[in-house]
Amino acid sequence: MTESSPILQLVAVSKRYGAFAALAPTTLDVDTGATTVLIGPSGCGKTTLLRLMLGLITPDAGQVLFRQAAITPDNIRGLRTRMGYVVQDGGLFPHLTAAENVGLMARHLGWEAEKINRRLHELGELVRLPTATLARYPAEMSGGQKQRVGLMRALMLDPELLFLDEPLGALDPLVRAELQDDLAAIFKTLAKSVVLVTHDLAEAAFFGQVIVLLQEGRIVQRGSIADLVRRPADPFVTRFVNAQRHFDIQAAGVDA
Amino acid sequence: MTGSTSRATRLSMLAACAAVALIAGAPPALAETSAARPVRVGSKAFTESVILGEIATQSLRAAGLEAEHRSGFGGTRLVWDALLRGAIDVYPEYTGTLIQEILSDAPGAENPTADWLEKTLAAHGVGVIGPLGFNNSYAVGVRQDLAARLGLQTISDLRAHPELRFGFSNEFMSRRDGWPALRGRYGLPQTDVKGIDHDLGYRGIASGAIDAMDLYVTDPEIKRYGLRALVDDRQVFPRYDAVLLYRLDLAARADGALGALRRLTGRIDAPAMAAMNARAKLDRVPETKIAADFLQQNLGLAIAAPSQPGIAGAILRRAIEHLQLVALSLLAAIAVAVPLGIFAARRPRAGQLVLGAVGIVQTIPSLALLVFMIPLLGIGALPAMVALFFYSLLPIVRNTHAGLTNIPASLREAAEALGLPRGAILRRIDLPLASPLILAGIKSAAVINVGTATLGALIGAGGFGQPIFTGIRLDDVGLILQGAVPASLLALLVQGLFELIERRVVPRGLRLRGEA
Repeated sequence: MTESSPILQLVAVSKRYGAFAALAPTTLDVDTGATTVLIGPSGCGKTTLLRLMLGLITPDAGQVLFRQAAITPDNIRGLRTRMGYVVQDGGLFPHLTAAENVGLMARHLGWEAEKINRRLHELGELVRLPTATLARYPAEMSGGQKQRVGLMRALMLDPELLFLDEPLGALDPLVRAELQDDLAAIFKTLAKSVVLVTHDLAEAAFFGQVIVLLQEGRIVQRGSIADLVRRPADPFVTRFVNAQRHFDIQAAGVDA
Repeated sequence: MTGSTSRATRLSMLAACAAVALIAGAPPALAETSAARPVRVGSKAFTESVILGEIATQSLRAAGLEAEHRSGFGGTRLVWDALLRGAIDVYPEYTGTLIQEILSDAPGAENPTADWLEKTLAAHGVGVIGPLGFNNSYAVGVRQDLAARLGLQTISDLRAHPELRFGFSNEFMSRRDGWPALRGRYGLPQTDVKGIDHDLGYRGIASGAIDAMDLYVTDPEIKRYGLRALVDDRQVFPRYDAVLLYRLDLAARADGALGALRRLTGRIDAPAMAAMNARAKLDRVPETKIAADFLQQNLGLAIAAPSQPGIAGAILRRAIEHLQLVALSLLAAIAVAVPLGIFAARRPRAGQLVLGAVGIVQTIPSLALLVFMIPLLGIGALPAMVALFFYSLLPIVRNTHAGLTNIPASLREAAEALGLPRGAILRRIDLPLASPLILAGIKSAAVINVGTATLGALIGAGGFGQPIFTGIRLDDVGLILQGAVPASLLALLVQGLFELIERRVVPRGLRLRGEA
């Protein structure tokens, strides 16, 4: 297996909820070592796509391959330790401290306390979380801190693939900008394969080497931000780009 | 995390262990062999029955037999069933009740003779001793002043006053020789007719809340409250000769028991019975003492006066009985209801059935549920505990279900995405998150149980209900308070205890919510 082969592949995957086609038959590669951004308006299917990739839901048809092996109900649990997932609002368990949240799975796997502690401090430094915060409960943390702890939890087992579902959605602009910079730095340091969901094009441009734009349960375009702006595959792409008024094309490094 | 998760696990383990112990402990109690146990005398929940039961018990003891008295059964059907099932061996009954109520469906009941009665009872494995010497028929009582004002002498005179309010004991209301026969034979027009506890009826008539009530002619309250017993001019009420019923197998089991009981035949006349009732209800003399005095004066039997425990001792003993009822039933309910709640939350369709079923159990009136237990489990603490167990299920199942289904989907997804297996998610995430609601369910079950357990006294389970019901029977407010006050205190105590447990079991992180 070479580094260039996709870490995750969707082959003709589809999902319906009753009469509602959440995802039309979709084929998509997630590149190894790159950040792939899923973007689109609400209800476009990006969350369904993410949950299919994580194996939280099973497709009606088609296959999801992780490193060329099909994900099945039998192997999904083992595979999950190789994937990290940062839930939308942090998804921290309110009855556990930050340290307990982060160390939960490692403890379950029987890691020694010392090893857990070492990893906790390593990750704490990486995500710039004050050590004192590790002893706090989610109710005692700020929104930004919760996201940092959520990221630590996802990274605890050093996964090969990291998923983030709108990680910055609920944060105020200052915290958001700071965390955005930190996340970009972390992705760069770790050189991990990342899948990030957002509805904000500026954020997609900021993080994404590959941007996947969805509309009504299908992929409209997959490409770089420059591709989306200069070579839109569909009038919807242009509409979507133009609708994000605060998006500064110059700042994103694209000369139109 | 050690704290929160394993605490929840420990709690459920503890409950499971207690339930196993309870179940393991049950069979010996059920299988108690009849040969080894003392003769059990039963009686109904009114003073005369209790005195007669006590006299029978002490007569047996005087003959050198071991005997115990289970007093205060909540109704004729209850005590009759207990006799047929062998939960008791002997109890005092009245011929009128036998013919009109218990055996009314047997062929020949329209024209009963002593011979018919004996044969019909024998078919049930029951023998009869007596008559004891008095006829305690029903009567209809009104206040003397009202009788004088309206000129009431006979029951027929009531026809002219449809506005009168009647309050009859619940049993009298439904017995075919009671209110239905009275209304039919006399053509009584009154429509304001309520069912009321017999002893409370006296208070009602004294305070003017009702105008007429059913009486037993040996009731001492007739004199005490200045009532007039109206003449039964159409002879609706049959004879109510007091007798003793016994199981026919008693002769083989307890040598000399029947001989001891037969000595009572014809020895208790109506004035003697009324005097004994008056001593119990008006002078507050304990039934044991009244029975002992009677046997000494009339049969020359010397009965050692049983030692009466002091008030503190009595309250302590009842507290232990009461706590046992509540604690064991609650622990068993936790062990069953929490898994049921988990199941209901995981399988929504089957879960609706479970929730519906425990909901239906809850709608059965508590007294009825207690009575249902008697054919299955006899009398005493076990059937009461089982009934309380059923009552505790709903709040715990419902809250466990609600606690689990209220967990945000995103948290369950986060747990699943971590790769935790189902069992670990349940233990480390779901149960701790649901623990506040589960605990609240257990708390409300416990508090309800403390109250409902008082009814256990009606089927011989003891507890704080014993003084309450005896107090109602004897019109003794002090005695009622001896049960009611500690029962209320116990409920408060249980409430407080659970607030302490909450502090230990509910994870700190959950209690912080709302503060932040």
